[in-house]
Amino acid sequence: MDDPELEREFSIARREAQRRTPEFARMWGEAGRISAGSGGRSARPIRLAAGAAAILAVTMAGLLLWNGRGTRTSPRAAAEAEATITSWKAPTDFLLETPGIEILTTLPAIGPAPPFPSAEDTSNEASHVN
Amino acid sequence: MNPGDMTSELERLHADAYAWALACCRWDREEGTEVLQTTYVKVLDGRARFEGRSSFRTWLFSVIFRTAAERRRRLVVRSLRSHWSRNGHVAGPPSETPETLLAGSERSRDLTRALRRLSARQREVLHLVFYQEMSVEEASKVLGITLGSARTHYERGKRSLRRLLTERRD
Repeated sequence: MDDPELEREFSIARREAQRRTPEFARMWGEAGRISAGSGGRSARPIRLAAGAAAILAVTMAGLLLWNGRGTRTSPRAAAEAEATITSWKAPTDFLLETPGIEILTTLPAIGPAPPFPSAEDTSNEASHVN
Repeated sequence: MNPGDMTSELERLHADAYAWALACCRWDREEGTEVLQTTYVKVLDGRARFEGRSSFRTWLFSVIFRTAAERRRRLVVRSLRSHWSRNGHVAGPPSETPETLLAGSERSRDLTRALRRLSARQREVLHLVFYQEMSVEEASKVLGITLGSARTHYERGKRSLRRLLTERRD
């Protein structure tokens, strides 16, 4: 089967299909009714304007949020926030202050050595024992 | 192009446009009619506008092709939704309606059946070239593919179609 044969097959199908094609006027008329019902061309600018307004609103909201965030993170505000955090003391800290806590936080001192006993003291002690 | 000229041009191409819409919908008459109807609505709404970048026929056929593709996507989404919700109608693949089967001679039905067995792209290229008598280049513009790709589909599709028609007749 060569190209001309294929063309013949398609031309037969084409002739038969053309007899079964619905009328143009009917389909075009129906399309006109559908188009008029859905607003057609007149609704297009309204839809475009609504879309543009929505995009503008979202952009504005984004800009406002962005600016607000910029004020909160100024260097001065950041420094103040940092100072507050470092000096903060938990209200339950006193519960950790148990009796004798100073033993854990101070270095124990040995203190001065006691006086060495003299020879007299030693003889007294011996007579007393006897 | 003024509205009057456009309407008469559409009327002149109506039968071919209908055949192309059918080919884009695997010869399902109901779907093909709906696709062509939607195309006409798009033209009237101004959603599809001819700007003279190609011939009027190439432009119209590409609008029909895109409309059929949109419809297929919508059907897929609807069928998935029905499947997930499990309480709706699941749309199956397009079937041969009695009207489609009874219409035409045995010979043209053989051709339709053989074309159905080709890939969508091969079927579309062959329809545009043999049925609509377009060049392969015009067909590539309608389908939005490269000329090289259209040529490949054309050659492979022709080979497969010949084989299928010969098998059926032997």
